[in-house]
Amino acid sequence: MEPQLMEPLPGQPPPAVPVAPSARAVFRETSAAGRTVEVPLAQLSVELGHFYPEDFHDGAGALAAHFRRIAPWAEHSSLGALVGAAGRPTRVSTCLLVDDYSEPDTLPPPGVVLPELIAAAGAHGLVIDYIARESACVENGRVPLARLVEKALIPDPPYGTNGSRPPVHETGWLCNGSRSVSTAEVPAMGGRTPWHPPAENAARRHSVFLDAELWTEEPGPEGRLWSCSFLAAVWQLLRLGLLRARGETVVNPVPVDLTDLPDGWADFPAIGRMTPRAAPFCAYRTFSALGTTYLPVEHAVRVILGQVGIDPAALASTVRRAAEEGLTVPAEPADRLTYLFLSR
Amino acid sequence: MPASTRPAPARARAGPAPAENLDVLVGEVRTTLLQNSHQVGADTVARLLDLDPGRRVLRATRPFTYAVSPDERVGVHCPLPTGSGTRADGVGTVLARASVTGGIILQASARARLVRAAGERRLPWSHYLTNPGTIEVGARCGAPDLTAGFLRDSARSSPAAGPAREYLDLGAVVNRLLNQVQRMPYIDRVTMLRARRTRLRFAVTWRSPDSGELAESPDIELVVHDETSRTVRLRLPASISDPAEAVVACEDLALHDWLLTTVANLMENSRIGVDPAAEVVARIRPAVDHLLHLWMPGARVAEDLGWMWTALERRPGFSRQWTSLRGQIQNQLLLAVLEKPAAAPTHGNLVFQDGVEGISHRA
Amino acid sequence: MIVFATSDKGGTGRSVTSCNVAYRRAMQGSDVCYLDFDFGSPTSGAIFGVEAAGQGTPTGRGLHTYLAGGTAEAEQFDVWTQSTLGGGWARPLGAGRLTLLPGDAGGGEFPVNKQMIRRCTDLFLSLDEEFELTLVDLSAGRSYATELVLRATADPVLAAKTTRWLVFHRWTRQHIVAASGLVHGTQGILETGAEYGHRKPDLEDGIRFVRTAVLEPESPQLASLRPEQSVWLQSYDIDLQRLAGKMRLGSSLMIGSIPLDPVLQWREQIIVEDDISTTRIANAETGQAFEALAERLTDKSLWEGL
Ligand SMILES: Nc1ncnc2c1ncn2[C@@H]1O[C@H](COP(=O)(O)OP(=O)(O)OP(=O)(O)O)[C@@H](O)[C@H]1O
Ligand SMILES: [Mg+2]
Repeated sequence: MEPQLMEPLPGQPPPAVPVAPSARAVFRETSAAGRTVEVPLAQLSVELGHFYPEDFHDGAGALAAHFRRIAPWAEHSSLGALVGAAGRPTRVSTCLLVDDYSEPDTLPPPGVVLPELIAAAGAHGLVIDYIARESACVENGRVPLARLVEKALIPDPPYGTNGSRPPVHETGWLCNGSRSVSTAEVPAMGGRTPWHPPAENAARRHSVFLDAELWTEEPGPEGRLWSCSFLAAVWQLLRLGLLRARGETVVNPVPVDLTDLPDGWADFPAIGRMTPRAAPFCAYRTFSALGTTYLPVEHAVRVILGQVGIDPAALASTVRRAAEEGLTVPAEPADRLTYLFLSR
Repeated sequence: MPASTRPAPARARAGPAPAENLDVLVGEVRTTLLQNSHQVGADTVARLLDLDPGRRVLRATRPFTYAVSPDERVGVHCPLPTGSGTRADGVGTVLARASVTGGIILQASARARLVRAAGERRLPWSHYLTNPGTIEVGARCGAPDLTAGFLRDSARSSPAAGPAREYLDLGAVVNRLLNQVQRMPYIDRVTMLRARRTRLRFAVTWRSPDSGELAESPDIELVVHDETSRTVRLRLPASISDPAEAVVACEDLALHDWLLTTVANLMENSRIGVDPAAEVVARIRPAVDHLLHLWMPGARVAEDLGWMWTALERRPGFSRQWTSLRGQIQNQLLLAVLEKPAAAPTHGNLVFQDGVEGISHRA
Repeated sequence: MIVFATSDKGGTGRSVTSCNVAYRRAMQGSDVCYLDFDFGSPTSGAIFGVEAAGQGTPTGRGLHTYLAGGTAEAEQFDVWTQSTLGGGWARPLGAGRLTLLPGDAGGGEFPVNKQMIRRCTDLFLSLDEEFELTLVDLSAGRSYATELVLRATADPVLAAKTTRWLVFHRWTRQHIVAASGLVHGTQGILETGAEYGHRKPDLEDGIRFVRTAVLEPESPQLASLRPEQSVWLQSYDIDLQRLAGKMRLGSSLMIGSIPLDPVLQWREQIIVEDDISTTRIANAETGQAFEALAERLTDKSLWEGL
């Protein structure tokens, strides 16, 4: 013991200040610097629909009717205007989402669903480049995407939010303003606060207040059932190429061999590429053709997107690369979304 | 498009001269001891700071191990304190991060850059998210007013200040982050040394390039308010423009100030000269084992901010005080060895001799 | 170390005794903080003579508001500089810190929820970074405060922290029965603690009893008793001893006994050295009893499992 005690103490004080050196040393540790990868980008991502299990129980006729109605809107000539490209856009990819998440047991297997979809779309001149399964928005096989996006939420602060209270992550809801009842605990015999109406932040005189449920608790390993709105927000972010996990891309489409489809959806890739020479899955802007029943869902999507903190490097790279092509892309993700809502 | 539906913003009307440019970086750093019975390894540190599955912990090993969490982003919309009492509201986001130095010192800092809002209306939230770490200030008050308010506001903790107003509270953001790390499963929460959390608030402004001769002369003003609270006011030439470096410099300052405060406190409470040196040494042992080697002022500070430490070494002389504390510790260690022979005279003496030999050989 | 002060009945002397113990412990050189978790009536500020928080703090940053999530940090008062009592209360040489965290003026009891437990563990953890002793004065009886700390200390994040309980009671039949009930009875500390995930034997090992305002039969204060009264008192005291043993709070589990003191009888206060040696209004034995209890809080031999 004693000998050690006599040793000089660790770290003799260095010369108080680095003497102004004329030679400059460059020292770098790679683990000390962050980085964000770029992803391939199309100009527009067109969503041809969002399909539930029941859509496949109504026979091929129902699917065909859907594609027939949207076909005129998905023509390249009309899409060019959406991108702001003079004439025709050069890079458009199409995709659709199959819901294998909310009622996984009732969805027919890929071997039934895929040929039906492709045939119905093809009958109206539509090509499906990518097919994704909704459960991949929860977890794409490597990254828990839903949790990642939830973690990136920066709730829209009502006036009076000064950092002293943690944001309301725990509750599983997200709104665009302040709720009518304060949920703060009131002590015994403490005064109650009177009711006040909910209010939208930055409202124009009158509020359109929206409170979206992100998830509910569920027994099981994940412990959560994510809401359709939240997963749709993840889906839009994937299509916009704005998600990164530790700086790496989370979009890795896998070519699908139609002659050798898996028996279950769990074995289907998160995002399957159906056409070999498709434009990239991610794009500067998205266009979605949906039934009006999706209107409230997409309203929630926009409320959620307006509160997701995006990797600044990823955001900047889309703007810069679009500019290099002579296109403008809005700074805010929600402004990059276009919809077509179809009546029944 | 929405702009067309609302009346022209107020500031377009005739009124006081358009407000001048605003750019103030404000922040707060809190420093404490990681609650573990010994210093933790680099991998554990990385897990402690892995607060966001979407982003990376950054780590360095030279000149000491250091790791920092990804930035947490916190939305705020609240009044900002001003020196004059003028009302000033801000909307935007604060960035906060936690870091561990030497596997043992835990820091958290929060920061935001105050800039002038383009109009008086609050914009949709997504607008503020495109520029994280920025708070847009609606009022016309200037940088000196905001700086004065922010730095003075640290006195708010005195009970005389009355009911808390809901001013921007960077301290709360930082404290929450410290708490979050301290309750992680990877540490045992056995306290090796009682140490207080110190807090350092900082405000940084840049001189406009046309302020003549002054433009190039930086200055720093460090105020020690009480045992745990400090403020730093930095005025930088426009040429040193990277706010990230200023934040690192303030974190580095806070770390060394904490080391000084903690070790000085420990020495003061170790009953030097009252109790036998061996007992004193047992009390100061954790500092010897885990803290002394971490003293490297300015090691992480960017070259163009090196003058900061030069100035602080001149006055108040951080390293002078540190050297004197080390001297005191060394004396106690020496005394402990000298007093030891009472228990086992010959043996103890021999070992002592060996020790001296050992050192002179190496020197 | 975190020490909880509780009692089944109100007015036992829990607050006065634990404030005095905190003071003594700080005088002995430890850094001590005192938390007023008596949410129904937060009055420890008055005992310490911290006028700004006499009946709780009016700033809205007291423990009630902190636990309810209304403020990020609970207000702290440095007793050495804020106390108006005893004139020269500047921190004596060699003394540790003595910090008070008061409740809110006008605060009341409130039911416990998950976030509150989280805030409570955060509070205990951050105080334990800097204080050697955290003394928590709980509400009397089976209270929300007791539920809160039982649930908080059951959280594994506090597993490495030593927690101890002092159960205060007066030296009367009813008090003895009540104190025993609070610990061993239905919905008592042990039963409830076990429900929240504590191991009963561990919890029980950390519980000791403190008798307050005790008149020892041989006390000089009783010198004027008639012989009949003395005899009765002697034998009744033996009865009480027997009862205490039967109720599992006998002398082996008693860690302190504070004599009845005339000053405390009339005024809730800290007894300082001056009160004993200069003005001589307080009894030296009272001071010694506080002093001893303060030392015993950390005396391992007294806290070994029995
Ligand atoms: N050793 C003592 N000798 C005489 N009186 C005492 C003694 N200890 C406490 N008292 C007095 O008993 C009364 C009750 O004490 P205290 O307020 O500390 O009790 P408590 O248990 O905290 O009560 P509550 O449950 O109301 O908080 C006070 O007036 C106090 O001064
Ligand atoms: Mg009381």
